[in-house]
Amino acid sequence: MARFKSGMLSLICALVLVSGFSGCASTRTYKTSILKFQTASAVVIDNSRSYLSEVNKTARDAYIEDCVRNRESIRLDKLYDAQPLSSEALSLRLATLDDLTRYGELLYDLASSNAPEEVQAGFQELGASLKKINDDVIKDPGESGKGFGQCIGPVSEIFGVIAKDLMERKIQAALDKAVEAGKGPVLQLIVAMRDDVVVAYAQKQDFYSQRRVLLVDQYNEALKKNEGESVLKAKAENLKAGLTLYEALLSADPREGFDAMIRAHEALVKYAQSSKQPEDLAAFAEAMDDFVSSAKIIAGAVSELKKIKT
Amino acid sequence: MTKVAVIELLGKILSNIDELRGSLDSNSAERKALDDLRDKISKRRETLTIIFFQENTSVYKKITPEISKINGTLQGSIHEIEKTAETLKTLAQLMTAVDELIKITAEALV
Repeated sequence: MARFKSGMLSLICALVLVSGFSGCASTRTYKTSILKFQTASAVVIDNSRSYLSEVNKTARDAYIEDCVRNRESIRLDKLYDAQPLSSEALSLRLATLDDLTRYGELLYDLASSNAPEEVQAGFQELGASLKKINDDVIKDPGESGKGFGQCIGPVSEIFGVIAKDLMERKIQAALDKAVEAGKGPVLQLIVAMRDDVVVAYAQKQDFYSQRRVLLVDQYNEALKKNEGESVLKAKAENLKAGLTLYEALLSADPREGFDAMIRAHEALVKYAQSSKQPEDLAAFAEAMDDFVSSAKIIAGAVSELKKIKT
Repeated sequence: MTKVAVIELLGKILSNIDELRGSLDSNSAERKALDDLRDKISKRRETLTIIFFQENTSVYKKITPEISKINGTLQGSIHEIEKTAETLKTLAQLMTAVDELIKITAEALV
């Protein structure tokens, strides 16, 4: 948890820094905009990672609370059956999120690099990593992996096209090619991850929504049993905490972050395909500012949510 | 409407149901009926999350607007305790539509 908080703090600081970064030259504006894309993407992805990591815990907790409510015995086999993702399926998704983060980092490295060979090696490693994920999905897709696997395949094959430009140190051309080659596959990958994370979030939201009723029932039962004031106060405090947590969760909807990321990625592609006029750059920079604003809101909401939980 | 949109919509409905459940006496018949329907809708939603869907089939395209239409009707009653009986009827229709969605997917997988 402390590691998560420290990570979130770093990301928020980075967002503040990149949003305050000002430059006079178009090159600097471009690099800053790419940095904004990378940093804001990292916030969205970090938020997603926490929902995916907790998806099985949420399902287990829901099963246990169901058993308590229905006064049924708890069985470990049923408890594990309730978990929606196998450890392999979860690892695969977390690895894909890592690769999406790496994609943003490599674009920034490419925009600012004095060592194109290293960036080229980075893109090759990314391609290899995505290929491995693709192979794993093909080997054992599982029911929920079918749609996911369809998106990863093409992404793993896009990065070879930029090698030649990198060797010739045509950085802008290489960057444009990387963005253009990845426009469809990367978008599909973001959408696939968004859908998975949105489902994980919906399950978590459902768990805490149901909990509100449980806490109301517990208070009302205590009242019916004519419990003392301290018991009633304790139940009321539990209820207040449960309601606050649920509200905070509603503010931390990962869909908004992914939708902002999709819009930013579209702007990135549009700029790569443009004739690079000042107005193209201005539109691109504006889109990245919007993405950073969305990411800041998400980072704030997630930070609040984590504070409540601890 | 995509599969994820259906899952999100059912999530919002479950949240609406919870708000109604939490406003009723936990021993009342209406509350127990709502508890039962909530469990069933929640289980169906879980099933939807793990099934792979072909979202471009004509049957899928026919059923998902039906779910959306039922939700429209539901929103006219679910926020009012006096209309709980009406809400229960609409939720039963929702269950039938979601069952149909799961059924066509299961048939497509065979």
